[in-house]
Amino acid sequence: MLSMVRLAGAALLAAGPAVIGFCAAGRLARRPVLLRELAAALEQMEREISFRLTPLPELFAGLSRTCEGPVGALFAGCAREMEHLGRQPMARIWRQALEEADLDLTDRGLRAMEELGEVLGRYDGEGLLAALGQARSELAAAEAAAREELERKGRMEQVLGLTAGGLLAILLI
Amino acid sequence: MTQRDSAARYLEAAALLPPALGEAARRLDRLRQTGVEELRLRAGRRMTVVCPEGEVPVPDAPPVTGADLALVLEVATRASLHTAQAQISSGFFTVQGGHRIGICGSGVMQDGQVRSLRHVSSLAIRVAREVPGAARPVLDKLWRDGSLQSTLLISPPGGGKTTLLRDLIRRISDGAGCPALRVGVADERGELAAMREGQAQFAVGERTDVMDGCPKGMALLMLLRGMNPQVLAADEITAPEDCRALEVAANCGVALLCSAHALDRADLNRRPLYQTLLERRIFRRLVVIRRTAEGRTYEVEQLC
Repeated sequence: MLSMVRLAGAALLAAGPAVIGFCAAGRLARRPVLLRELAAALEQMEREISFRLTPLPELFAGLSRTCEGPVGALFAGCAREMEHLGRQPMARIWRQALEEADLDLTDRGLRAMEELGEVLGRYDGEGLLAALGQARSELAAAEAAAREELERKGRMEQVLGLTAGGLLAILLI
Repeated sequence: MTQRDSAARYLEAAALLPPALGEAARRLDRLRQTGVEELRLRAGRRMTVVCPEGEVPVPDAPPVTGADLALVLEVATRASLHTAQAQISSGFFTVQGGHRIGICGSGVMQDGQVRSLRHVSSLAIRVAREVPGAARPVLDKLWRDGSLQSTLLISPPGGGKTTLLRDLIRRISDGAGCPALRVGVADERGELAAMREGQAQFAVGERTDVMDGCPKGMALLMLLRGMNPQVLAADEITAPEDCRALEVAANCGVALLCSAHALDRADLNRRPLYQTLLERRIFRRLVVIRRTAEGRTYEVEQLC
């Protein structure tokens, strides 16, 4: 009976760090996917603005329906707050939606999206398309960096988690 | 239009303003609200309103800032400047409800054309209002032997051409005081019908088809080809293409209802743009609108 309890304890001790390692690796794996989805949504915006001159409120509402997860949440947040345009400028609405959506953006990607918010609603079609193109290329670069980081650290995070769990179990039991 | 409707229209236009300016505009005396024709915003100055008695400052309104002007544009275009770009390049654009915003600033030129405006310095929000009955004094003078005669309405800017034209369209389309006719409206700036999601926000009649958002010249020809109109209407004829389209339409047996900027017939005759239209007797009636202390007066002249 005692050995059974010790075995269960060892398993629990090993599982904790392992889960942390797998979560960290999962987050690394999720980041390039989100960046790609975000870039695809911006490409959709470019197409709508180029060919249909779609107003931003309709564009946000459409993207909130077609995009899933945090990217969909970003556009849903914008679409909802457009009701209050005038009480707050577009740039603030964008920034707030960006903060609330769980996009897990870091340095380069975050900066690109924040800069895009300063252009939305204030520039003509040509300026808007140039800003969207610029943001997309920044997101593509951020995605490449995220993939490289995933390759470099993803496996390591998992192995570290497993090893740390195993060591802890050996040391304490 | 009742005083209540008139005030509601004013408040609709005032809703385009940033919070502090909007608050001051809403505090304006209710009777005055019904008479406001324009809200005027100039960077660094106090907001004013244009009333029949002149331009007066709005009490307790803070000085207008550049950020206020940018926010008005953002609200008016629903943060979609790209959708109003062509209109803004021509110095004005029309917003939901048919209100017209005149815009002034530093022009950005590209290929000899004004591409956009930066550093917006002034905005003039013209409150759009319907005046049912405005056309009553002139309608029966526009007919001859049971046929509507092609008519040109003239006045200086802000004289009430659009209001009169809109009521003429409504009455002719509904057959109110005359035989009912199918009317095609080329509403380039969206001021006549104020279309929203395919429906007119102003009463323009039961038998009216509206083509908006494209140049008048093109819209007139598209209406002529596709909608079999008996009457074609267009506000503010300002381009040679508009005149050419009107000539084509007139030669197809369609009656025309149009407006143009001019003080009177002599002033109109001096403008090269209208020479061909007048020489070819495209228009047979001229309505001269004048503003007096008692209100607007209409003088109908027979051109041929």
